[in-house]
Amino acid sequence: MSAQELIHILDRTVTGSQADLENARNFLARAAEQNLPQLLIQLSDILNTATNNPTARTQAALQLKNALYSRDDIKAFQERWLLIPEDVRNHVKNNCFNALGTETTKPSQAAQCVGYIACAELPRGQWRDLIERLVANVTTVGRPDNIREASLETLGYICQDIDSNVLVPQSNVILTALVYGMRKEETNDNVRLAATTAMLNSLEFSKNNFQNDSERHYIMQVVCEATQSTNLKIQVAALQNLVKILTLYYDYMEYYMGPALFAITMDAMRSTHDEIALQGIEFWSNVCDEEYELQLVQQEAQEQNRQPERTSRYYARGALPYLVPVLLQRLTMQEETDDDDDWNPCKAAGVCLMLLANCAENTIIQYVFPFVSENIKHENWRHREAAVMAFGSMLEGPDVASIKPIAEQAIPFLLELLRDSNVAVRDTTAWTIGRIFEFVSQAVMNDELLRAIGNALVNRLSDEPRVATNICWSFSSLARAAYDHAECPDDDDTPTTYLLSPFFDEIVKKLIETTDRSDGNQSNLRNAAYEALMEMIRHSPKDCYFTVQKTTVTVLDRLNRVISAESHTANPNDRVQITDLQSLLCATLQSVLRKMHPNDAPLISDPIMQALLQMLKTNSGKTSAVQEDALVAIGTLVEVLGMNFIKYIDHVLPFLYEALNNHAEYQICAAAVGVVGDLSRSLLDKLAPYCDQIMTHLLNCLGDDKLHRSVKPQILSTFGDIALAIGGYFKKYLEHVLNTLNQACRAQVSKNDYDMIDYLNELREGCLSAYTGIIQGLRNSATSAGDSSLALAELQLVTGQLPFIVQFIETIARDPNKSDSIIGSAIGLIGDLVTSYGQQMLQYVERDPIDKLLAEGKRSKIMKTKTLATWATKEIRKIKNN
Amino acid sequence: MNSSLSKNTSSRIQSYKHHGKDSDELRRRRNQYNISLRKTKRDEQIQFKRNLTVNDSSVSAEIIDDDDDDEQCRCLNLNEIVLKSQNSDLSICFQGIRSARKLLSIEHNPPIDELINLNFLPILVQCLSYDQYPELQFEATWALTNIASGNSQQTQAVVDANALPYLLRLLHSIHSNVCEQAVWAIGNLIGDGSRLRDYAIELGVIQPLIEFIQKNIPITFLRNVTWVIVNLCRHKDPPLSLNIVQEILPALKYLLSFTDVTILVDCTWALAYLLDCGNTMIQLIVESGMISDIVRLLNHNEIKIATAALRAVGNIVTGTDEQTQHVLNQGVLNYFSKLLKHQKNKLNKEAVWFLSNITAGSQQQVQAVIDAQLIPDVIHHLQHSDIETRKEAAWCISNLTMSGSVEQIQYVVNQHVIHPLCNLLQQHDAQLLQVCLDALRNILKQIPEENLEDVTKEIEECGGLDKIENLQTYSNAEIYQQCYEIIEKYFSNENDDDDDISSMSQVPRNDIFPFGNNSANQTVPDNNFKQNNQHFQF
Repeated sequence: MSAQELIHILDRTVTGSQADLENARNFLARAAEQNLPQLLIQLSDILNTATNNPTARTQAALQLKNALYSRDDIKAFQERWLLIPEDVRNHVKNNCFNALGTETTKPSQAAQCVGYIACAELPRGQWRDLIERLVANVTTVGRPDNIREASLETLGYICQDIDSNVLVPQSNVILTALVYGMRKEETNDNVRLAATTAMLNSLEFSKNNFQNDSERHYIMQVVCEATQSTNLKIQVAALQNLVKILTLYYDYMEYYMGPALFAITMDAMRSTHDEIALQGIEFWSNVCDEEYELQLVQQEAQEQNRQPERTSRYYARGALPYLVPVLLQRLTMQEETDDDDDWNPCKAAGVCLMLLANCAENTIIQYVFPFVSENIKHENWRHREAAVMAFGSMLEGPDVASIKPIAEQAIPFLLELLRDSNVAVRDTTAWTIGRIFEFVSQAVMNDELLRAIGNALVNRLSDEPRVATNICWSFSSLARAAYDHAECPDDDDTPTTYLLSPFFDEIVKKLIETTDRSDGNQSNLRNAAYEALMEMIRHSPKDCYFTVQKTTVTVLDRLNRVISAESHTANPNDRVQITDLQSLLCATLQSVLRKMHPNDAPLISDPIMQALLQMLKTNSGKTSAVQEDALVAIGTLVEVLGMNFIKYIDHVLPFLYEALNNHAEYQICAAAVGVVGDLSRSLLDKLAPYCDQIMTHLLNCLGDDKLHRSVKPQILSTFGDIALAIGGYFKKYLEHVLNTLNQACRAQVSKNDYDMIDYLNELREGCLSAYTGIIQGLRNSATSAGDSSLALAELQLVTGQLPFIVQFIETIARDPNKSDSIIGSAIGLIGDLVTSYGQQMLQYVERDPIDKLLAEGKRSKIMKTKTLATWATKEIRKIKNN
Repeated sequence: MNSSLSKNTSSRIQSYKHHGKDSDELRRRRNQYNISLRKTKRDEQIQFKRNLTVNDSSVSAEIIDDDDDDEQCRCLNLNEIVLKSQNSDLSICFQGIRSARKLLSIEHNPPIDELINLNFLPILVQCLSYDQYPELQFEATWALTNIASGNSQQTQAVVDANALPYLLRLLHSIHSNVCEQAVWAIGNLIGDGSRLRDYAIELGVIQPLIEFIQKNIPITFLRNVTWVIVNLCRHKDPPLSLNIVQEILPALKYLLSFTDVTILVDCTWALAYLLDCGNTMIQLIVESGMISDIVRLLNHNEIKIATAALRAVGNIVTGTDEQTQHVLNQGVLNYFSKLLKHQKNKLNKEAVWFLSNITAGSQQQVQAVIDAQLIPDVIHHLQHSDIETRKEAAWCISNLTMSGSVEQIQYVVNQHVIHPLCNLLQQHDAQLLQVCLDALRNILKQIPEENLEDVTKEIEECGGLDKIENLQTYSNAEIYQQCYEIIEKYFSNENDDDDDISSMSQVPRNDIFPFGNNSANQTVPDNNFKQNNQHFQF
C-alpha cells in the first residue's frame, strides 16, 4: 500500500458519504489486521509530512490515536502498542513528536498522539527523554510559539491521563515549563492558555513543590497574575487553577487569602462574564466544602479527645459580610426562562449560599434574613424569587431552635407565594417548603398549620410541571417528617396515627393523578410524583391502611395496562417510556406490599404474581431493566408472603435461572441472587428440593470472571442464607462451597484503590456471612432433631476448616481498612464458632489479634457490634471456665 | 481538557433544588434501600439464632453492662417464627413456638399484639392438642399464659381463639408441667373479670381445680392452684354464685391449714373477697366455721397474711350485728392492740376502720372496744397519723359518740379526744369536718350537765371554738348549720338547752365507710392479679 493510496483513503473519510466512510473503515481495519506496525508507520509519516493536505494529516493522526487508545479497554490497547517492535515504535514516536507545532488545525492531533503513547510508555520506564524534550520545547528561547503551544498541550494531556505518581519525580521540570509558559511576560496568549490549562492537570502531582514555600509562592504568583490577564479564556483557566489549588492545598492558603485570593475571587463573582463569575462562586463553594469537612474532622477529634490533624481557618465565616451580599445580588439575576440543564451564576450562588449556611450555622441568619424580609413582597419577581431562594438555602445550617421562629414567620408568606403570578417564584417556593419539612419540620407540626399547608400543596400539584415536581418532593419530605414526629406505641415501630392521617387519602389520590399527567415527562415530574407516592406509603401509620390497600389495587391495575400496552408498542420512544413506567410501578408495588398486613397479602398475591411473571416473559432474552425491576418486586412478595410463596415457586424458578445466567447484564443477575436470599428466608427447608439447581447456577456465576465483581460478595452471603434455611441438606454442597470460600478469603487488592478496598470488605463480609450461615444451619438442623451428638457430627464436617477460618478472621482483625460492619460480622462468627465447637476453639481464640478485635468491637459506636462483642467475650469466658 | 470544570459543575447542579434526583439516581437509591433491608433481615435471622437481640441504632455514649446485655434490646423476625410454628414437621414447629414463648417472656413490651396480629393464636391453640408432643403443648401453653397476662383485649383474644376448652383439657394431662402451665394460663383468663370467670366455670373449671387440691400435688403447683382460686373469688360484679362458693369452701378450709405463706395469703384474700359480697355470703362463710382460723391469722408475722385477714374480718363486721358479734366472740379484739401499734400505716388504718364498724354497733360492742384498751390508740391515731387513718379514727369516735352511753362518751372525753378532734376542724374535707362536728356535738349533747363547762372550756382553749366559728364561712350549708347550732347552743349567752338537733340527719350506716371496698382493692398487690411467668426456672 502506498502512502498516496492511504492518503486517498483518509481523504475519503470526510466526504460525508456513508459508503466512502464504510469503505475507508474496512480498508483500515484490514490493513491493521494484516500489518499493524506498517500501518502505524505510514500514518505517522503522513502526519509528520507538513506538505500533505491538512485533512489527511488530521485523519492519519485520528487513526493513529484509535490504534493507541480505546476508552473501553485502555490497558489492552497500551499492551498491544508495547508489543510492537521497538524500532517501529521509535519511528512513530519521532514522527509524532516532530509533528508538534506543525499542524495548521486545532487542537493539535500530534499532541494527543504523543500523550497516549506517553501514557503507555512512561509508567514502564520507557521514552525517558520525552518530558525533558517537551520542556525544552517550551523553555528554549527562540522556539516557535506553535511548537511551544503544542508541547504544553502535550504536557497537559500527559498530566491529565497518567497515574500522577509516575510524574512525581519529574514534577520539577514539568512545573518549570508550565510556570514559564504562564508568566505575565509571555506575549503569546495561546502559549499562556496552554500552560495554564496544563497547570490545572499538574496540580495533583505537585505536592512536593507546594510544600516548598518559595516554589509555592512562585506558582501562586503566576496563577494569580494569570487571573488578571485580559484574555477571557486565560482568566477562566487561571481561576480554575485557584479553585483546585484551594481544595488540594487548603492548609497552605493562609498566606495568599487576604492579600490576593479574597480580592480576586470577589471580583470574579461580580464579573459580567458568566464563566468567570461561576469560577469565583465555585471557589467559595469549595472553601465551604473544605471547611465543613474540617468541622466534622474537628468534632470527631473532640469526641475522641485528641487534636485534629488539620483545622479550619474559617475563611467562609470570616468572609460572610462580604460574601453574602454578592451572592444575594447574584440571586436576583435570574435567566428569563429556566432551562433545567443550564448552569449559571444565579443557580451557583444559591448552592453556594446553602453550603455557606452549613458552615456558618446560626451566624448566616443575620446576613440573609434582612434580605428575605425586604424582598419577599417585592413587586419585581426576581427579588421575590431571590428572597425565597435565599430563605430556603439557609435552612439547613442553623440549629432548629434559632431557625424555627423564622420559619414559622415565613410560612404565611410562602403559602401566598405558592400562588404567585410568576412560575419561578412558585417553583422556588415549593422547593423551600420542602426544605422546611426536611430541616425545621418542628415549625409546621400542628394540626391546623399542616392542614393549611397540605391543602395549598395539593392544590398546586396541578401547576406547571416544574412547580408540581418540587411540590412532589416536598410531599416526600413531609411524609418522612410527619412520620418521625408521630408517636409509636411502646412496642411497635408503626405509629397508629399521625398528623397527615386526616388528609392522607386525599394527598395520595392527588399524587396518583399527578403520576398520570400527560406532561409528566417534563421536569422529572413523573419520577417525583411516584417517589412522593412511595414515600407517603412507606411512611404511613396504621390508620391509613385503607388507602394503602386502595393504592395496591390502583398500581396493579396500571401495571396490567402498561404490560398490555407494551405488547403493541413499536415506537422505541414509547417503549422507553413504558419501561420507565414499569420500573416506577414495580417500585411502588414494593412500597405497598411492605405495608400490607400478613393476612391481606395472600389475597392479592395471585394477580400481582401474574403481572410480574408476564413482565418477565415478555422481556425474556432482552436486555432490559424491566426484568430487574420485576425480580426485585418478586423478592418483596417473597418476603411478605413467607411460606405462602411456595405455590409460585415452580413458575418463578425458570425466570430466576435465566436471570442468574445473565452475566452480561449483571444488575439482572444481582437481582436474581437477591431473590434467592429472600426465598431462603421465607421458604426455609421447603427450598431444599430446588437447591441443586440454584447452587449450580450460583457457583457458575462465581466461576465467571466476566461477571461484574459486585455480584460476587452477594452470592457468598446468599450461600449463608441457603445454609441457614435448609440446615442439614446443605451438607451435599459443603465441599464446593468451602472451597470457594477458601479462595474468596484469600483475595487481596491494591492498598491505594479505595473502590477495591470497599470491594474487599464486601467480599470478606460475604465470606463471614456464609460461614456463619453454614455453622448455624448445621448446628440448628441437628439440635432440632433433638440429638446433640448428631449436631456434633454435622459440625465435624467443618472442623477441618477451623484453623483456616480463624486465620481469616485474624487477617481481617489486622486490616487497618476494615469496615465497621465487618468487625461486627467477624465477631459474630467468633461467637458462633465458640458456642458450636466449645473447648476445641480455645486454642484459636485466645490469641492477640482476636482479643484486640473483640476489644475494638466493644468500643464500637454501632450497638450491634458492641452487643456482639460482649456476647462473644462472655461465650469465650464460659468455655474457659468449664 | 475541561474535565475538572465539568465534573465540578455537574456535581453542583446536583445540589441545586432537586436536580440530582433523576431516574438513574432514584433507581440507585431504591436498590440501595433494598440491599440494606435484606442485610437487616439476614442480621435479624442470625442474631435470633444466637439468642441475641440487637437494636440496630448506633449509640456513642452508652456503655453496656457486661453481664446483662442479653435482654438489652430486641428486634426479631416474628414472621419467621410464625412460619416455623406452622410447619407440619412438629420439631420445627416446636422451635418456632419456643422462640415465640421466649420473646413473650421478655420483661419489657413483649410483642403480644404483633403476634396476635400475625394470627398466631390459632396456631398456639392448635399445638395444645398435640398429646404426642407434650413439650410442644407446654411451650404453647406457656406462650398463651403470657399473652393472657396482657391487657383485657389481649386476654380476650386468647379466649376468642377458643383456647379455654383446650386448656381445660390439658388439666388432665399426665405431664405435670403441662398441667401446671395450663392452670397458670387459666388463672390469667379467669383473673380478667367475672365474664371470663363464669365462662370458665361453665366449661367446668371448678371440678379439676378442686381435684388438684385433693390430690397430693407439689407445693409449687398447689400455690398456682390457690392463685387461680383467688382469681375466681376476686370479682364481685357479679359475685360467684352461692353454690359455686359452697363447692370451693371446703377446699379453702383445707388450704387454710397450710403454713405456706403464699398459699395462706392467696387463700385469705379469696375469703376476704367473698366476704365482701353481702350478708348472705358472709353467713355462708361464718357457718363454714372458718372465722376462727381467719381471726388467728391476724396475729401472723407475715404482714401480707395479717393484712388479708384484717380485711376479711373487717368485711364481716360490715354485716349484721349477729355476724359482727360472731367475730367479737372469736376474741378478735385481742389482736388489735398489736395491729394499732403496727409500724405499717395501712394496717393501722384498716384496724381503725374495723373498730369504727364496731363502735357503730351496740353499747355492748362499744364497751368491748373500751375494755380492750383500744381507745387511747385510736385517739393517738386521731392526733398523729396520716390523714387517711385520722379520718378513720374520727369515724370511729363519731360512731361511738352516736351509739355510746353517757359513761362511754365521758370515758372518751377523759381520754383527751377533744383536742385532736378540734385539730381536724382545719381540714378541708367536708365529710371529715361533718364527722368531727357530729362527734363534738354528740359529746356536748350527751355529756353530763356538770361536765359540760369543762368540755366547752376545753374546746375554747384548744382553739376549737375559733375553728368552728371560721367554719361558718365554709361554703357547705350543712357544715354552716352544724357550726351555727353548736355555737348557738353551747357558746352563746342565751343558751337554749331544749333545742334538739334532730334536724340533722344521722349518717346512714352504709355510708359510714366511704373508702370501704373501693380503696380496699388498692391494698391488693397488683402483681398478684396476673402473672407473667418469665421469672420462673423450668
